[in-house]
Amino acid sequence: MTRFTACPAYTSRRGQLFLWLLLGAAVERALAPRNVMLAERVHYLSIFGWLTPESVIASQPLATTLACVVIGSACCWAIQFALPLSSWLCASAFLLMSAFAVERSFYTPHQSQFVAIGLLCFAAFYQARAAEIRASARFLRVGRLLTVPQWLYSALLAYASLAYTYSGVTKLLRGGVQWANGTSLQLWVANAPGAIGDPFGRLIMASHGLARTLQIAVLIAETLAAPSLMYVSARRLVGLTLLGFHLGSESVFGFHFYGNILVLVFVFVLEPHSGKAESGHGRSVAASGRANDEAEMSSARSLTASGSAAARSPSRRRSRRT
Amino acid sequence: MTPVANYRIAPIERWVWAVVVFGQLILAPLFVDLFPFSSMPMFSAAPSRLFALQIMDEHGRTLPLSKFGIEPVYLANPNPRIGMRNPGSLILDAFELSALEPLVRSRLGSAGLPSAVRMRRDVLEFNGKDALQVVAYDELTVTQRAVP
Repeated sequence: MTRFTACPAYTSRRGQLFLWLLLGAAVERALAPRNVMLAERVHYLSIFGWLTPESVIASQPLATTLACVVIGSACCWAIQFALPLSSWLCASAFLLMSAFAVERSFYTPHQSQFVAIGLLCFAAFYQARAAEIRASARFLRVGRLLTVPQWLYSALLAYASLAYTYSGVTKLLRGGVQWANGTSLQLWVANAPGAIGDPFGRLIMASHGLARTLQIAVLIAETLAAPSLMYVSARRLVGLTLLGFHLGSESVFGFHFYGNILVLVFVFVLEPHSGKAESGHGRSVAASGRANDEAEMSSARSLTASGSAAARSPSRRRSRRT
Repeated sequence: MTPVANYRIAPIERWVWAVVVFGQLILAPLFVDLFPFSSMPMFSAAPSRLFALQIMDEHGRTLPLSKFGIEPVYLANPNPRIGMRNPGSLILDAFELSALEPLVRSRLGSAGLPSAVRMRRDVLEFNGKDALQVVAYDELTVTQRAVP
């Protein structure tokens, strides 16, 4: 475990932006229309399916309450209010709301998964560091001293890369390399309501070669997502390809996979240091992390000078350690 | 804030890391879809044709499928993990008109629906020139009472 503690995954601003956008994606899911229970259960689709009575899963008032709790606690979390309660409330309410929505579905909608896992990881981080984060928070300058740790980055990276590799392998097992024949993508575009009107959709429909090229690129990127973790440049290339795939899908199909887009941007593409960080390069990264800390520390000192009592404790604590 | 070099993982962080990584590593391939773990199997099929359903009244006007309790779903997944199914769940990847006949008949004559309708299933394929065209179709007339 120690290798995950060596250096930060994100600078404070990037980490804070990532969390805010994840919270925005959670609120978007909470505002989405809620499906009603259908008739006959075939399979459980979530880890909560076995544990929860169907009357609870089907309850519309409960679904609405959970959505309200998600929105309210996300707002509190975003402004660092009532931590770590608001963070756990948001993560757990979102997990339950999404799980019950999945259980009420004919077939699993996959839009909420990356958001749920991201919020869960951030909630654990906030639980562990609640006192320090609370002390560093200021009105309208929230999370200024937040530096997201390496373990959170590695958990999201493992989760996302495994998901995409499984997806690529499933396509290869079921459709073979013939999956990327261009025809299937054109059929999906033709079948999607409104997709023909989209400029990108029209482009796909106009060129069978383009459709085939896009499918080949997605198949390669998905399958190689986990192996690409060994090389930073390969990981970024895979991340950019999958990002292009999701942005294209949003334009043509409007699937609302915002969680996937955020994780691809912040974990695959914008990750701040290479896998060599544990060896020689690690020193420079750790040094840059410390430099970043120093800059934030001086910022905290300036806040202290302005008379804020709460700012004193973290900066003093840090001074003693350094 | 704790200096980065001194960052120590708390037990709660260790647990969440383990649940996220091992859940995705083990549960996703075992169950395909078990929220929040998934192998994301959507669009794993490689279809070469598409089916479409229309229900028309005696004047040839298309009626909304939802009025018959039909919920079209296009999975593009040959082995989906289905959660809740209603009688009108219609998987557009492949379906038979005869399977929908009892459901459609049960709705005829009620809620402003006519007493007889014509169901039509189109089979669409690409013609090799970047155009989707109907290569086959079949029809079924459904009346309020079954014809013996």
